[in-house]
Parts: sequence; structure tokens; C-alpha cells
Amino acid sequence: MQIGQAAAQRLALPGSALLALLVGTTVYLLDRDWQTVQFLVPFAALQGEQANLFGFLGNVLPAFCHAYAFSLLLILVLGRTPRARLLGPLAWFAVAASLEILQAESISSLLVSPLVPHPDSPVLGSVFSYAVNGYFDPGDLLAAGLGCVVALLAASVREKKP
Amino acid sequence: MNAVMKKGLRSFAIAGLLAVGIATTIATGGSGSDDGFTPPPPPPVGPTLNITAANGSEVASAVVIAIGLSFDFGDITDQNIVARPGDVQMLAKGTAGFYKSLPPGYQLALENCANGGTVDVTINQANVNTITVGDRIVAVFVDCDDGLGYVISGTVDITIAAVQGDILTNIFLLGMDIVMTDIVITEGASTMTADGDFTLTLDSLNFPRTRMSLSGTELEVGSDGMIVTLADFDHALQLEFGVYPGVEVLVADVSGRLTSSLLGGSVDYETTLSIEAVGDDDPYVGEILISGADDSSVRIVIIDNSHIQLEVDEDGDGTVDEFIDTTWAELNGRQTPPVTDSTINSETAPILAREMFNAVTGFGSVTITAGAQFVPVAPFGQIDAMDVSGDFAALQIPCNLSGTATVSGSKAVTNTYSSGDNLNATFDACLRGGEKLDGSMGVSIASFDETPGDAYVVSASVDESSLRRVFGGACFSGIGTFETNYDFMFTTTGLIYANSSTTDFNVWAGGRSQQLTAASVSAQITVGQQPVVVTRESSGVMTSPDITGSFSYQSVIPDEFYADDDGTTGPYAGELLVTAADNSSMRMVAVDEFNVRLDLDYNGDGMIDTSMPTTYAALGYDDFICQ
Repeated sequence: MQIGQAAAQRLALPGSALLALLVGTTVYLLDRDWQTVQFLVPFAALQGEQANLFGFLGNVLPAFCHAYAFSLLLILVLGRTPRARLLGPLAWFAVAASLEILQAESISSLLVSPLVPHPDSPVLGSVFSYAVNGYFDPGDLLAAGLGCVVALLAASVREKKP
Repeated sequence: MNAVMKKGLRSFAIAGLLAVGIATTIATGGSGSDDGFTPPPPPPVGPTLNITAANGSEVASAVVIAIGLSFDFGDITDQNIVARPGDVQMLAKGTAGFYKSLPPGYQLALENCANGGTVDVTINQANVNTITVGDRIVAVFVDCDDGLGYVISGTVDITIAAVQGDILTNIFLLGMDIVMTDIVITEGASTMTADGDFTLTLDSLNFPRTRMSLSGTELEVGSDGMIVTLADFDHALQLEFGVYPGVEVLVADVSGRLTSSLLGGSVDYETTLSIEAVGDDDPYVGEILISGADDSSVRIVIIDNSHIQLEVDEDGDGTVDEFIDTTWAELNGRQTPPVTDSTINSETAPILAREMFNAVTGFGSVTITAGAQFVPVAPFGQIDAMDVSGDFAALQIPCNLSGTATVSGSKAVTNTYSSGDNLNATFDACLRGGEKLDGSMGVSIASFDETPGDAYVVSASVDESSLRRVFGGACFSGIGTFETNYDFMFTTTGLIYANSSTTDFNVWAGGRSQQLTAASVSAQITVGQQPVVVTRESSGVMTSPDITGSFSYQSVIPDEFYADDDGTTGPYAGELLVTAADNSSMRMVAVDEFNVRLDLDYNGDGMIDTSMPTTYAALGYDDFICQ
């Protein structure tokens, strides 16, 4: 019994990270137009009617869930130390913020737009498309920051439990 | 596991996590609503052809011809699909009939066209009593000549896309998605081709204002060896009757991209000022901006219905680098034979002026008479009123003052003329009004519209194997073929609008002859008041046995003259520009009805080197006074 509880406690953080990723994916599957989601475009013809299950929360939930999950996973990889609990969320927020800012028109036009699309390179093509076709959303930035903070809190709370 | 290995694995895991995190962020498009991935648009591809002073005319010409062709194909579809009361035309004939009686999915038997060839028509219609959106008509033409003035081959596949009103009246809207496959249309010596699809909308809901619009993503059109592709084009032509008596006013707006392998690239074109024209004349106002690579451009500025200025900006700096003066005839590709071996100087000018005067006056005289034969008292007008139909043997028609006209031919229906009717007339001192005719004339009618007791409009091909016309004391003979339009309006004062064009024609007067090629004449005549005033514009190329080489001529200012002069006077206003092979030129400037001034430019620099005052009598006008 104690062994089962210990396992559950150990899996709580990675489990919550996976759950967050699932919720974020569900938003894309149910509430978004698949034509506008790069990894769903090949299946766009199969999409039924958009459910809009998450309402206005669906706008920022993926950014929140994504930041929460990856902050937590980074904390777990870095080790359960106070320093890691701070470094993981900070590192992910830096990445998320950089990517969001890349979509700002002034930045994307400066960095990416002069480059031609790369039909031969799916990676560069995707980055080009992400930067040029997306747009900077402060709401996303806020949601990502919140996800990182919640991950920090969750890890801290979990570590303080006996 | 030692510490180093542990550290390495941790670093690897961190890098992997960051990579997956970044990849999923990009793959989802950044998470926010509507800011996700949109398939990357293809990089915008602009026009690829550099427009220069050297190719500016060619580019402008290709655009003008292609736009004209697109409207021609719209017209041809209109003629063949839309039925109007009294029309007897290929599919129109079917439209009036089959939409009233045939079951869905009916395929008409292979039909012979009126003047040769066949048309095979398949129809799918939802409702036998009317045209319905989704109805489909497929017509396969094989050298089909239905007397419309052209022969057509190829397949036209039409799906009705929109219907409002009743197409059997003048008030309707008809939208059609059209696929043309291997269409070849032969009209005289010209050939037009089409491949591709477009949407054609005929909108006459605001009749007498009608609108024809064509739009499509790709249509290949060709004319006499030139083949271009129109892409993303949108061409609209508005026609309005009643603004000027007897003629329609046309307003065109166009945009699109033209690609030509002959030109070596693509250009974009757009009207920046709507193009306007009256009747069959070329447009008199409007501008089209043609944009090429690197912001190079040529702007077509329409000066009047003869002249055009091209403004070429080679480097895209907004400053015109080259002005090119040209004409509608040149831009439309109306083949003007090269002017060869000729020069104009003070010695040749008097002879040239005499020959030009004979040619221009004579061509106008012997061509305008064809359409005039349809007035009620003239021979063709008399037959129009008879109960004559089918092939008819020679009928001797008394001319209303004296003499006779013997007329034979074929006529589809009684009491009117229609497309495909043929008339062959031999005149014997046929005197009517101020006109006396001798000789023969064959007329093949392309269209005829008549409001009983009022106006008529006739378009026809005419063959004058030898026709002598005396009018106003002047005698001219004509030998050759020409196309003519003649619109006779019975308004308060009476107006006639007429134009004729020929590829090759001979004019004889006073024992002299002039050969005209690529010649045209248009005239407006006020009748029913004295004096009868004629306004005339002429263009073409002339050769004469009396002078070396050939000369092009073009009305700069329309001639104005009294139709019923006694043979000793000429235009009291007007200016005719005659140009020789070495660019020397002569302007025949009318001073008054007796005097004319010859302004000579020996070297083509635009400066008048000599002015020679003279009179019409001195130019040899006496030559064509009837002996």
C-alpha cells in the first residue's frame, strides 16, 4: 500500500504534465480549425464541426498547458532541487516568449520575411510559416508565464509533501 | 553510473525536451487562437517581362488584342446561346425551341449549319419550360457557318450559373460557366482561337443598359499566330443605347495578367480610366496601365478614336522615359501593309494629293451605297416588303425615279432580312434620289435589325465586281469586297452611321485607278435637311499607277463636306495625313469647300517644310465629274 502511494506520488508531476498536454491537444482537436494547425492540416478534410468545447478558454489554454507541461518536465530532468524548480520554468518561459515574439510583425519581417520559403526543407519551411503566418498575442505570452508559475508552484508543493 | 555519464544524459534529456517543446509550439502554430498555421502562400510572383521603349508597342498591342478577343468570344457565345425574338441562330434557335419542348438530357440530331458545316448539340436541362441554374449545353462545331460572318470549329461547354428574368425578352441576367476547347473561328482572312474556361455574365436587367462581364483564372486566346494566356482576368463591357441616337455607348473596364511566350514573359494590366467608345468606332477615351517586371510600365493613353500615346517607364521611377505615338489600327494589329518606295516632295505632292482625294472620296462613295439599298424605296428595301422567302430567281425591281435593279438570292423569312440572306443585284441606270447605279453588287447579310416604319441596321459582306455610282455629280467605280455596317436612323433630322473596311479594293474615277489595302471609312450623315452634311474618317494604304510606291493615310481631323455638291468642291473642314516610306509626309488641310492646303514635311521631323495652297479643282476633281 505504501509502495503504491509512493509510486503515485512520484508519478503525480509527470502525470499532470501529460494530462496538461492531453488537454491542450484536445483544444486543437475539438475547438480549432484544422486548416490553421500545422500538424492537423493533412487531416483537415476529416474534421467535423468545431465543438468550441472550451469557449474563450480555448484561446489561451494550449499555451498555458504547454508551458506548464514542459516547465514541469524540465524540472524533473534537472533534478528535484530548489534551483531546478526555478531554472526549469524560467528556461521554458524564455523559449516560449522568444517563439511568441518571433511572430510579432516587426520581428518576423525583420528576421524571417526577407527569407524565401524553403520548399525543400520542412523544418525551415515550418519556421518560416510559423513566424510569417502567426501573429504575436500578449494573451499567449501571459498564459505561458502563468503555466510556468503554476509548474513552479506544483513542483514546490509536491517536494514539500512528506 | 558515474557522475559524468549522468550529467551527459541529463543534458541530452534537457536538449531533447527543449527540441520537442519548440517543435510542438511551431507545429501547433503558437497556441493562440487563429494565430496558427496557415499553409504558406506561394511567394508572390509579379510580372516577369521588362517593359522597354523597344517592346512597349508590342506589349500594348498584345494586351489590346487579347482584351478585344475576350470580348469577341463573349459576343460569340451571346450570339449563339441567347435567343431573342426573331433571331434564327444556331443554339439560339434551339434555345427558343428546345427549352420549350425537349425532355431533359436530350441530344439534338447532328445539324447542318446554314452555309455549311455541322453542329452537334447535347442538352441537359432540369425543366423543359425554362432555363435553370445547372442546365448544361454542349455544342461541338465542325466548320459551322451559320451566316454570322464567321466559321466556327471546336467545343463549347456551357453550364448555366445564374438566371434572372426571361431570356426571350430584352430584360434578363444570364450567368454561364463556359469551357472552350480547341475553338477556332475564321472570319475572313483572320483566325481566332480559344482554349480554357471563363464565366460570362450577360446582364440586361437595366435595359437599354446592358453589361457583359468575363472573368476567369486562365484562358488562352490567339489571333493570327499570336497566342497569349490571360490569367485572373476580369473584363467588363457596358453598353448603353439612347445616349446618342442610333448608336450604343460602350464602357469597358479590364484587369488581369497576360503571358506571352512571343513577348517573353508576363505583364499585368488594369484600366486606370474607363475606356469609352461609341458605336463601332474605336475607343476615344481611357487609359490602361500595363505593369512589367521591376516596376517597368507602359500606359496606354487614348487620345481619340484614332490616336494613342504610349507612356513607357522603363525603370519604374514614375517618370516617362519614352512617349510613343501610335494608332488603334497599329495596336489592334490590323495589318497595315508596309509602305514602300515612296517619298513626298513638292513635285510628287500635287499628284499624290489628287490620287488620295480620288481614293478617299471614291471609296466612301461606292461603299456607302450598299447599306443604302435597304431603305424602303430602294431595290433591297422593296424586296424586304415583298412576300419573298427561300431562294428566289431574278426579280426586276423598278428604281423609284428611273431604271431597274434585277435582284436574285435567298431569303430566310418574308418581310424582313436575317443573317445568312444573300442578295445579288444588277443595276441598270437605277436612279434613286441623287444616286445613279450601274453594274453589280452581291450582299451577304450578317445581321439585320428593323423596326417597321422606323430605323434599320444592316451588317453585311459586299462584293462589288464592278459598280459605278454617280452621286452629287461625281462618278466613281468600285471593284472588290468589303465589310459594311449601315445604321439608318429616322429621327427628327435623320442620321446615318456607316462604316466599311476592306483588305483590297480598287477605286476608279475619270480613267484613273487607286488600289487600296487595309482601308476603312466611317461616316456620319445628317439627312432630311439641306444641305446634307457628311462627316468622314478614312485610313488605309494607297498605291496608284501615277505615282511611285505606296502611301499610308489617316484622318487626323474628320472631313466635313456637303454630300450633294456639284462635283467641284471638297471638304470644308478636315485634315488627312499621308505618309511615305521615307517618313516624309503631307497633310491635306481643308481650308474651305474650294481650297485645300498641302503641308509638306520632307524628312519626317514633324516640322512643315513647305505649304502649298491649292484648290480641289486643281487637284483634278474635274476628273471624276461625270463625262
